Amino acid sequence: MTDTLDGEIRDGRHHMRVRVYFEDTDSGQIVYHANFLRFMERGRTNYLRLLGTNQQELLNEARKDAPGLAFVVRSMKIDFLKPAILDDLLEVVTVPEEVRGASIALLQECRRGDDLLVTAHVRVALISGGKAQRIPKSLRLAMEGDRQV
Amino acid sequence: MGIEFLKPARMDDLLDVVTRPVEMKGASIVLAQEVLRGSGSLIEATVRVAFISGGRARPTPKPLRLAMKADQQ
Repeated sequence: MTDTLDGEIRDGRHHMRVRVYFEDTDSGQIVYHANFLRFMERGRTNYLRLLGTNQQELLNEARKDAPGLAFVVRSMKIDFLKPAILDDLLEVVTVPEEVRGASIALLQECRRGDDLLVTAHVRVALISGGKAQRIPKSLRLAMEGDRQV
Repeated sequence: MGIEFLKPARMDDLLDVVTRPVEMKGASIVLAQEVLRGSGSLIEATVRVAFISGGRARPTPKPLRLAMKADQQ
């Protein structure tokens, strides 16, 4: 299978690769922990993109009724298990865990080969004007259809 | 880390980052952190920090542990 820039969805899980560059490392010569959050944000964005619901299109449609509609991260639980270093080739895996009426729970992992470096549980909500909005049906169906029981 | 993103912050906001020690163990420290704008809490986080030297876990440095405990009293 050929990777595209946006990764790929296999068995309901989104996979994408990230290379570690100098700018990602800190004075301890390992990836500064906050950069894993950036890598995982790319995973979430590309997962949505490959589900066929490019965030822009989805949001533009929904914005007709709800101005300023946007996804926001509502909470995260992250475990930094092992460090990554310069030149590492990482894999960011994103899996939907639960799609509720107004929020989505995702499990994300950063791996280097067989090594699990970081795991995160991320809750994402859709907000407009400071108020929670329902997750669009098309998105819910796309994620639930992909979910493994 | 466990982080709750409660409310957004915007450009030019003046924020307060409040950090306090919650637990001081032999090999790690747990900190409670809050980001405030005025009296409103925007972010709440619990962060566990460990000490590493040469890629191996080390005990929490004693002076640090004592300083954090003394501060709490």
